Amino acid sequence: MSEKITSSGKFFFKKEKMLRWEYTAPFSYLIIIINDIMYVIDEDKENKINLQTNKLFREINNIILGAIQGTLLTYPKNFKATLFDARSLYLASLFPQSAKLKETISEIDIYFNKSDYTVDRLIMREASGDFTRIEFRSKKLNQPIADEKFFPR
Amino acid sequence: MRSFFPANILVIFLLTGCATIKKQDLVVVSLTQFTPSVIGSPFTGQFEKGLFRTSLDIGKNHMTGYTLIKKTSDSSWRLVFASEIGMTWFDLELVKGKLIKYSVFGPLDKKTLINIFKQDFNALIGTAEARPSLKIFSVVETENYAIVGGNNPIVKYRIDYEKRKSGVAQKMVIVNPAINLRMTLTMMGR
Repeated sequence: MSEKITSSGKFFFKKEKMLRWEYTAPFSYLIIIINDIMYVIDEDKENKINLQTNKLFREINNIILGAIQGTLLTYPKNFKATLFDARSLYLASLFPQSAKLKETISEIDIYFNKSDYTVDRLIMREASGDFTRIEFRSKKLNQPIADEKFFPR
Repeated sequence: MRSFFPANILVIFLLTGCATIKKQDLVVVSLTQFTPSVIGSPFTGQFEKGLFRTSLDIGKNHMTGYTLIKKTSDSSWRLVFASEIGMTWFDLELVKGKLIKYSVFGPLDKKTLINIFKQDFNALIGTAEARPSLKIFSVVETENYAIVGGNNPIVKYRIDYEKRKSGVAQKMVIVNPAINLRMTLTMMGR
């Protein structure tokens, strides 16, 4: 569909496997990944997912963390990568290799900033033609983040 | 993710005795003709499209996100439910009561569930195809309405139209007890 839905929030990442993805608008929604546990918290429910045992969410986790850490590019079993070099950015286009993943995702484009090699933009294209564009703005690098930030609630 | 519908689903239904709709809190409303505006349905009059905060529980599986419902012609409606991170759970269109599947997330893509969606969404919107098979109730101690339908225990549904504002429900809750499905749609804008 041509309709566009926009949401915004904050994204925290701490090496090696701590992530907090917090939506604040148009409503609150929180994803926390700490080591191999993913918490999905919406207004009335908290879901705890063991990534060791849940194959689908393990893949989603691999995509999210892999894009941030750059390890998706060295994940040939699941993605074939093509790299492009432009004036101010690098673009990595990733094509899923497993049939299961291809059913959902047709391509992931990751735009890296040339000045600090961080991710500026991520576009996830679905097999249906819909896509999700995530823009990372107002980045702060190497600032201290308390571990508590990655605890649910 | 676990498959929602094991191959022996019918056996499970028979063993559990088929949960049915509880009607203790409902009083039947006598209407000669069903009109969506009577029950506070937002899908009437000038409605063109609406965005709804959505949660869908099926068994132990919990999915959340947004649903965009758009009138695509006088007799067709598009329903797209996507997660907060953008992944599409389902993208369906009702055309004269029939369901077109544009995209359905793997574990949800089961014939039984798709048929239940078809029935539930026809009833939710109040399409001409759904109207003969549903009954309207008023909910005791509230000013809300609910509709109940489904021609066998497995597909029996109840839809509550709640939180009316200027006569229009801001929240709809679809329940299919037999498969433990509960879908809540809260209006964000239209």
